Amino acid sequence: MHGEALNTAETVELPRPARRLFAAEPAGVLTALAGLLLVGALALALGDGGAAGPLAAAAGGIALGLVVLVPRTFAAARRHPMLVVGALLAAAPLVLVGLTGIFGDTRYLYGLPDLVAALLPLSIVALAALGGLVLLAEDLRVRLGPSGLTPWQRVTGTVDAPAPAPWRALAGIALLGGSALLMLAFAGAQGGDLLVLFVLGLGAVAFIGTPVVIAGFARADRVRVEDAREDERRRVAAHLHDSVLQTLALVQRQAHDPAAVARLARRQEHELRAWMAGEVELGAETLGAALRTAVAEVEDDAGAVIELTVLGDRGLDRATEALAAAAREALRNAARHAPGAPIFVFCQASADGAEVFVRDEGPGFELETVPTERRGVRDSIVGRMAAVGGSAVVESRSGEGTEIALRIGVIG
Amino acid sequence: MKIVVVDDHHLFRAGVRAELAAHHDVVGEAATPAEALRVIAATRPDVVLLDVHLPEGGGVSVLEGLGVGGVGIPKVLALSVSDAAEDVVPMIRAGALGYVTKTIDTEELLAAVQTVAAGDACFSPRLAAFVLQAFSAPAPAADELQALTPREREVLHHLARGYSYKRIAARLGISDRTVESHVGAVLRKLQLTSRHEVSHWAATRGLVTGEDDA
Repeated sequence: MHGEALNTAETVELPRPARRLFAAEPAGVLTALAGLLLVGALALALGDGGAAGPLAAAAGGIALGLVVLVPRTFAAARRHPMLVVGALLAAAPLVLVGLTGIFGDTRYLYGLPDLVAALLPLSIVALAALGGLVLLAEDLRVRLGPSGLTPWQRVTGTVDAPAPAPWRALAGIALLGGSALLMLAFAGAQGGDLLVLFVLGLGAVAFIGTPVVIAGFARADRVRVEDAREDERRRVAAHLHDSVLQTLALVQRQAHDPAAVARLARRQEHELRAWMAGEVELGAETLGAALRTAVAEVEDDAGAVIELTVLGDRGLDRATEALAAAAREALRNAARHAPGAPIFVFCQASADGAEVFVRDEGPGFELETVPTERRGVRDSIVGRMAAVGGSAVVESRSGEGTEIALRIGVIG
Repeated sequence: MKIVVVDDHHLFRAGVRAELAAHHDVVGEAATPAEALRVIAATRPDVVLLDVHLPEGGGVSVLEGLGVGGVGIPKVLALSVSDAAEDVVPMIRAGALGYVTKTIDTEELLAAVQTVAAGDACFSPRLAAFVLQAFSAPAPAADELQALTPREREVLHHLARGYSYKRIAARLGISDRTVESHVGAVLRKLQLTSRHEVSHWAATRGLVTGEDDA
């Protein structure tokens, strides 16, 4: 147990030990071989196949084990000086057992054999616990070493350098816990008590392990969030490239024409606002989006200045498509007959209905005086709305501008 | 008329100063709420042009610091690049008499300054639409906010459609002064609920979800 602990502890010196199989290292291979030889020796001995075979195998195994263990033991002792004291204390009964075995005569030891027999289990337990402590200390040393991270990051790792699974620490805790249980068993605890202790131990492991596992998930989430953020940045960059940069290029080329520059800037402003409000992604599938498109078109074609306000929205169907088309017609009308005057579009929409007001501050006209050939435009608006069960009301007075009110359904 | 311009963009302040210089006296500028309160206290302006988005608390914190409503308090006209209702409506609620977007042209800005200086509300069509929306969402029972009279609602609706006070008065057959008093009443009703209710107020009326921003 002791040797195994040191062995595992030593592998920590490698840059990224957790990613490698234990047996993939030369030391690991040697240790495994040594273990196999020893087990084989035991098997041969139990099989009563004579003494020579098992002895040879055991000798080989011990030799191999020593090759690995001795340098590592020294290294571990250098790093953890107290380990030597602990190991000596823990091993003392074993040594004494060995001595009594050699001298064979316990008469001069004055009751020491009894003491040794009593201490022997304790010694084994202490060695196991020592191994567990070493494992735990190594794991903590790697995690808590100077690194410039927050304590939590040190334990759970970061996105860039996720901490290896805490196998060493778990093994260490298991050894410690096992030792403690054995200890209690020796001390005379009953099965029931041990079960309770075992459950308590599991609880403690869960208590320590749960936050670590959660942190692992959180880290995975963080990676996903960061990926999403990067995607979002790309999306924004792509949009800005297609829209704002494009417009800026156009502005530079048309710098001599202030009206064109103003128009470009205004259209871009509209688009950007709609995009920022998330309305563009909602789709050109809504009444508001269709109106925005219509407004941008008329602004571009006629050089008009149109202020659009949309309250609420609803999807495009036959009725709202007609409404948007009629509004576009009304806008063209207004831009044609009231050049230069501001145009206001106000839309209120809900699931029950929608209304759009298109108003200009132009010269206006008396309906009765409108020549027949110009009524066609108006009729196309009125006819369109009537076809979907809506209404269109044109209101104009000379000198007071014109307002066309388009309605479908019911607006509260 | 003495005017103070509060905006965290130096270039914008310079532009507004240049626009207003021929007609009014721009007596001070400020870039942060704290600076604004100092400058306003020192210069006692008639009108403050106040940006909605300021570092350290925004325009609303300036309005709170001014304690709007007291004697000798300057009239405030809010300026914003944003058309979002959740930016604009809180400014009006906190005491600004009007709101204009920063893309407004000089004449309209001068007109808005005049209106506000006279103590009247300056509702752009868009602001009128936002306020209309704020009042038309279903309100809990016994909410004093829901009490917009049909006339007030009609006036707001006309404002949203781009009608001037004068035109509204003519259409509804009432005097200009009456239209102004209707708008003033709407403004007071908007400012009625105490400040801590604002977020709840906005949330229940769909003003903070962003889905209704025009």
